[in-house]
Formats: sequence, C-alpha cells, structure tokens
Amino acid sequence: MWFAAASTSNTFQTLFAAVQQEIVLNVHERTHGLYSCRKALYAASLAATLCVVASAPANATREGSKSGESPPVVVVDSPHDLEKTVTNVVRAAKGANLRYVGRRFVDEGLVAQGEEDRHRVTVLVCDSALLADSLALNKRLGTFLPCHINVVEHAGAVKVITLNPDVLKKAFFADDPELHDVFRSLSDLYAGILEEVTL
Amino acid sequence: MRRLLSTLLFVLASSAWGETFIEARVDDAFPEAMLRLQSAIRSHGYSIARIQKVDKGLGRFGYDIAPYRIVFFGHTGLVHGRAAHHPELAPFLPLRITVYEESADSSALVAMNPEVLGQLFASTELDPILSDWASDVRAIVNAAASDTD
Repeated sequence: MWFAAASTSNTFQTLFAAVQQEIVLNVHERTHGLYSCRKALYAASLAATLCVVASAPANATREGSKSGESPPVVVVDSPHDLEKTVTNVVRAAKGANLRYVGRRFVDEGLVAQGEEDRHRVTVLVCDSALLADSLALNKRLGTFLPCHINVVEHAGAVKVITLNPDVLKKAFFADDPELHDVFRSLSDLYAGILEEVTL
Repeated sequence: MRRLLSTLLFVLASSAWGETFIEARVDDAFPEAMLRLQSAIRSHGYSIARIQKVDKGLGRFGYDIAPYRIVFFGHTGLVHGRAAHHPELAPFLPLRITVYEESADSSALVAMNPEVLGQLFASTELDPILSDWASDVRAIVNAAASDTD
C-alpha cells in the first residue's frame, strides 16, 4: 500500500514509485470533478499534496483506471501560482542536468499569437543522451519523448503534470524489456522534478 | 509518376491493450513522407502547431541519427473544447505524429493510440474525446500513407 510506504520512507522517489503502482481513490474528496488522492506527504517541508487526477466515474472503485492500472499521468498540486511554478519547473529541470528547450502554451501555434490560453503551459526539457539512447533502442519512443512537463491552472488550483513512465511502459512497450532502464530513468527524472517544484 | 506506397501496415502493435500504436510505413523518402503527412493533417481540418526536429537537435550535441521529426497538430476545438476541462489530458496536447526515415526510400509514421489512454484513465468522460482523437489520427496516418498522387 503506497500510503504505508509514504509514512515510512524519506524519499519522494519511493512515494512516487509506489503511487505509480497503486492508486487509491478517495471518494470523499471529490473536487471539481476530480478525485484527489489527498495524502499528506512524508515531511512537512514538502507542502504539496500528491494527487492523481482521475475524473470521477459513476462506479468509482479502488482502481485508478478502468483497466485496474494506474493513470498514465502523475499530478501534483503546486503551492505556488502558475508563473512561480513554471519557474520552479525550469529550475528543477536544469538542476537535474536537463537541457531546457523552452516553454509553450498548449495551444500555441494553433490560435492567434497573444490569444493563447495562458493557464496551460508546457515546459520542454531534454536529456540528449537519454533521448538518443532511447531512439536507438526503439524509435516509437519518440511518441512520448522528449520530456515535457505541464503546468496547468484549473479550477483555482495549479497542478504540475507529468507522464507516468511506469504505466506507459506497461501499456505501450510491454514487449520490449530493453526499455526498462529508459523508463526507470524517466521515472526518476520526473520524480525529482516534482519534488523540487513543490518545495 | 505516381509514387508508390506500399503501406502496408496498420501494425497492430499488439498487446493486452489492443492496438497500441497507429502506424504506417510509407515507400517514400523522408522529405516526401513529411510533405504527405503535413498535407494529410491540413486536409483533415487541423493546423500544424510546430515540428520538432529531433535529429537536428540531437545533432547539435554530437548524436548522429537519421531524420526524425515530431509533428504537433491540433485546432481550436481540440485544445479549447472538451479537453480543456480535463487537465490530465494536457501532456497529450497538441496531438502528435512521429516521422522517421527507415531507409533512403522508406519512412515510418507512428502515433500513440489515444484509445489506450482511455483504458488507463478512470473517467468514462474521456473515452469519447480519446476515441475522436484516435479516429482522426488514424485517418491522417492512413491518408498520408495512401497513394493519392
């Protein structure tokens, strides 16, 4: 049970990995159509609330998805406003030795310049070595790479959203065990960034 | 002369999840495959948001890989419509199709099948959105891989 892991672990990575394995939907905490897995994190210094977004199904159960698998994204509530959160994402990515490629609005290039939805930002980062190694193993990986981290302001809350590499690996690349290390690296990268961002 | 496409595939990259990737092989050089894809995207009512030149980007850091691009596309309805109410979909927007060179006269188009995401999310509200995305991506890939000259 991931909550148990959270109470005994001193690492966000442990919590992150555990969440990826099992999501417990708390049906009592429905807010704005979302079920929040609202669990206090392991330390007071980490004032974030870890959530896994899953819109409320009529037949909500303990499963995080219809398949019983965890959702394909990990969502963390940020204690900061959107701009500060984006700044933190960029700083955290650079701190993880990722190359900062840029930031874009989700609808940028699809609407007139200046009319973008400024509540949805994508931060693009890249680990060139990881990307090159990944594509050498499986060219389909480009459908999920390079790395991007979304910062979204929705229903009055700022959320940081990343892909959930462990789940995507199972769903899309289950037949390619060579990719295990790639997805492990991605999980570590995202977990580290989420930890930094919400401090 | 009409370019021949052998396309052949809608490979059902099979797994317990069904068709995990929507993909096709195009018997065309990479530049032509790119043009075909962009034309197909526009003919299906979408606009191209940007093209990420992965090969060029990696080349600047000393990695030599064959032509590899990611084409991001969408339209106002896609990004401002139903999906806007579901922040969990943000990482998958805009839609994208990857194009890469397989050989001098063969290229590949690959996209993640959005319907697989539907199985991973709990909400049934997302199913019609992801199904529509899959339908459009499939139509675009199919059109780009069809011999329309």
